[in-house]
Amino acid sequence: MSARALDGIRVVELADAWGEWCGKLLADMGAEVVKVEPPEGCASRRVGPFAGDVAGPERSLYFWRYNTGKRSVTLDLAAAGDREALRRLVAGADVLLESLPPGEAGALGIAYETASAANPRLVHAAVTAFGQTGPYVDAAYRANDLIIMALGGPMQACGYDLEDADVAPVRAGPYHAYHTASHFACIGILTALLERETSGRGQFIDVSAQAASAVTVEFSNTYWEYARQVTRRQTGRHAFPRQTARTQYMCTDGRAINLAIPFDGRAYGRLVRYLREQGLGEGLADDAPDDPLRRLAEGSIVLGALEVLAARHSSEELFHIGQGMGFTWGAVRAPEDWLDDPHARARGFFVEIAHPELDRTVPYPGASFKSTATQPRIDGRAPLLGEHNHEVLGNTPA
Amino acid sequence: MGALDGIRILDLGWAMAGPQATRILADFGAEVIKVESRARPDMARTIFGPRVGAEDINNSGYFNNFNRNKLGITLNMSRTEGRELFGRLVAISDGVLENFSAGVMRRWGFDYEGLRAMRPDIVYVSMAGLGHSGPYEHYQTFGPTVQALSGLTHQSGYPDLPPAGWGYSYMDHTGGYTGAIAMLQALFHRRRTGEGQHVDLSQVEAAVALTGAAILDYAVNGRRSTREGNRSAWPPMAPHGVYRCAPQADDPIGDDDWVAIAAETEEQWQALAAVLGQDAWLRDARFATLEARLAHQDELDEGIEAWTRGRSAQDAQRVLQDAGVPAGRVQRSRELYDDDPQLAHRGTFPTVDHALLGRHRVDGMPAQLSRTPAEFHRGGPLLGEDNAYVYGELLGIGPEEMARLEADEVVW
Repeated sequence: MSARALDGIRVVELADAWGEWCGKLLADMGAEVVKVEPPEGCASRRVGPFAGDVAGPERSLYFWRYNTGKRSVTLDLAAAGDREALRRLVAGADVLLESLPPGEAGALGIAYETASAANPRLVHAAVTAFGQTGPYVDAAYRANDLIIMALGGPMQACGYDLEDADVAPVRAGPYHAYHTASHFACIGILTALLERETSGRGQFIDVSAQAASAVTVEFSNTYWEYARQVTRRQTGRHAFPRQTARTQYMCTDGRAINLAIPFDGRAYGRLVRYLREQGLGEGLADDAPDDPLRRLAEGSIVLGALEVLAARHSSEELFHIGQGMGFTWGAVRAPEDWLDDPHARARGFFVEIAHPELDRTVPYPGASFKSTATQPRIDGRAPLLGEHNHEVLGNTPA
Repeated sequence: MGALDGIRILDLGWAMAGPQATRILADFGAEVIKVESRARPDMARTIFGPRVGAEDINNSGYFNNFNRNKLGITLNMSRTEGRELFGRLVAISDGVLENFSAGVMRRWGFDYEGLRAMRPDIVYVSMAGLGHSGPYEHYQTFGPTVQALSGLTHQSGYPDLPPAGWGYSYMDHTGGYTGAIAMLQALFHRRRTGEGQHVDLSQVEAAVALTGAAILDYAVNGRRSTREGNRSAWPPMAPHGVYRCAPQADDPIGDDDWVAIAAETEEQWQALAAVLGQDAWLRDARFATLEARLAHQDELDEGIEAWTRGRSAQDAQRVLQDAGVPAGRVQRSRELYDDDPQLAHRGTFPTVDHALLGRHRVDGMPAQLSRTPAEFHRGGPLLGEDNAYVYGELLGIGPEEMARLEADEVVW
C-alpha cells in the first residue's frame, strides 16, 4: 500500500456529529483514529437510516459513512479507571479531536493545560457549536445542525422566490453545519501538525461551528459589508440584493437543470446562435457583438427560449449538449445517480468496502481528492462497537 | 509567527474556489503570490460584487474578502517570456494551486511534469470542477453547477416543490476548504519526506462526499434520496422547523424574520410546551410521543407558529434558549456582522486595510489556534501591487529589465 500523509499520526476522537467527519478525513489520510465511545455506543450509531431498516448499533448507515477506517474502544468515563485509560490514550496521541461541551474535557482530566504538560506535542482540537467561550457558551445555548444553519447565516440565503412559494427559508440539506465545522477542524489540525515539525510543540484549536458557517455565505456578507444591502432568497440560485434571472428549469424527465447564461461574451454568442438554430429566441440577433446593454435587452427572450429548450430534452441530454458547447450547465442529479456514471467509474471514485457481517460489499464515495504520492483511501468499514478494545487498551478493563 | 511562515504558494486561483483555498494558507502566514494579468484579471474583480465607488479594476469588495493577506502580481502567460518568468517563480515556490478548467495548465506547459521540471519537490493542487481525467474532464462548472450535479441541490428544499438548492456557492467555499486540506497534507508529507505531489481535486467529487448517508441508503436499502424541507428524519425530531416571527420595523425585506426550533429530547419538548403555555400538548394524543409528533408535524408546526408570530425572532430565541430549547434566529449578514454577540466575541470578522477601499471587515478564520493564530495584515492586492517585490526582490530583476518587460506586455 502506498504512503499517506498522516502515516504514524495517532488521533483520539471523542467526537459526535460536530467532529466525526473531520476524524474520517484524517483516517482517510492515514491517521490511526481511535474513537472513544461509551459502552452503549456513541449517539451516531442510533442515527438512521439503518441497513435493512432494522435499527441497531452496527446497522446505522450514517455511522458507517462518517466513521470508516476508525478503531472503536469503549470506555465508561463515569469510572475513574476508564478515565485513567483515556488519559493514557491522550498522553500517547498526536491529536485529540473532541466535541465535548466546553469544560467537560477538564472534568475528564484531559484539559489541554494538563494533557499538554504530559504531552507537549499534543494538538488538541475542540469542535463545538459556538466555541469554548463567549456569551452563548455562558448562557448554555443549545444547538444542532438546523440551529447553526440558522444562527450561522447559510439558511437566510437558501429557499425560494416569493412568487414560487411563500415558505420559510430552508436548511439546504442535512449535516452541512457539521461538515463545515469539521472542515475547519481538519484545516486547523493539519496546520498545527505542519507547524509542529518546526517548533516541536502542539497547540489548542478552538473551532466554532457557528463561525465556520458565518464565513461560508459568500455574497451575503460582502453585500452587507460594502453596500449595506441585504440579499433575498431566489429559487435554485444565489441570494442577491435584487431579483436575478432564473437559472433552474424543468426538463421532460421531471428533473430540474441549471442553465446559467454564460458570463463570457463569446460563450454568450454561442448560446444565442444555438438558440436561433433551434428555432428559439425570436428577436435575438445572432451576430451582434456582446455588450451588457444587449444582454439586458435580450434577457427575457433568452430566458423564455431556455424554458422551451428545457421542455424538449431530458435533464441529462441537455446537460451534455450544453457542456459540449462550453456552457456551465448542470443537471440536478440525485447523489445516487453517480453510482452508474461513466465519469465516476473512469476515475474510480466509488470504492467497494467489505461488510463481512452482512456478507457483502457496499459502495462508498471515495477520497475527496487524488494524489500522486499520498492517495487517501478508506481502510475498511466503520468499527463495531468496542471492536478494538483489546488491541488498543490491552489489559485495561473496558 | 504564522504557522505557515516560510511557505510560498503560487496562486493561479480565480473566481472563488481557488482563492478560498489559498486565503486560508495566507491567513496562517504562507506567502501567497496571486498571479493575474491585465488581459485576464480575476473575474472576482469585475463580475462579483459589490464594486464600490468609481469604476476601477480594484474596487470589488468581494475580491478583497477572498484575497486579503495575499500578494498580487501581473504576468502575461500568453507570452513565451511570461511563461519563462512563471517557471522561475515555480522554482522558488513550495506549492502551486489553480482552479482552471482542465487543460489550461497543460497548454502553457505547466502540467505536473512541467512544474516538476522547474522544482522537483513542488506540490501542485489542481481544482477543476470534474477533475483532470475521465469523460467529463473538460466540462466547465461554477459553484451552482457543482451543487446541481453532485446531489446537494437535489437534497435542498421542500419535497413537494422543485429543489431550492443553495443561495450561494457553498461548493466554492467547500471546494476551497478541501483544496486547503489537500495542500496542507501534501506540504506535511513533503516536510517529512522531501517528496512533492500532484493533487487532482474534483469539486464534484468533494461535493458528492457531502451527501450524508444517501448513497449508502440507495445501495443497501434501494431507497432513492429526497429532500425534507427543514424536517429531520434522522435523527428523528419533532418539532424541527423554521417559523415565521413578528414583522420587524427595520426588516429590509419585510415580514422575513424567522426562528429555527428543534426539540432533540423529551426534556426539551416538555420545556418547549411549557414556554408556549401549551402543557395540554403533553397529554394530546397527537403530540404526546415523538412518534405521534412525527406523524402530526403540520399541526404541531401550526401551533408553534401561532406563538412565534407574536414575537420577534430574537425574543423567541432568547426565551426558548433560556428554557433549554435549541432555537436560533435565521440571521442575515446584517445580524452576523453587526449584532451577534457570540460571533463578535470570537472576532469572527477582522478588519484589514485595502489601498483603495480603506478599512473593511472580512470573513475571518473560525479555527482559532492558540499559539499560531491566523493573522490579518493586509487587504486584497491591487492589480500588480507587488510586482516590484516579487520580480525585483525575489527574482532579482533590475529596473531596466522590469521596464522592458512592462513595455513588452510580459509583466502586464
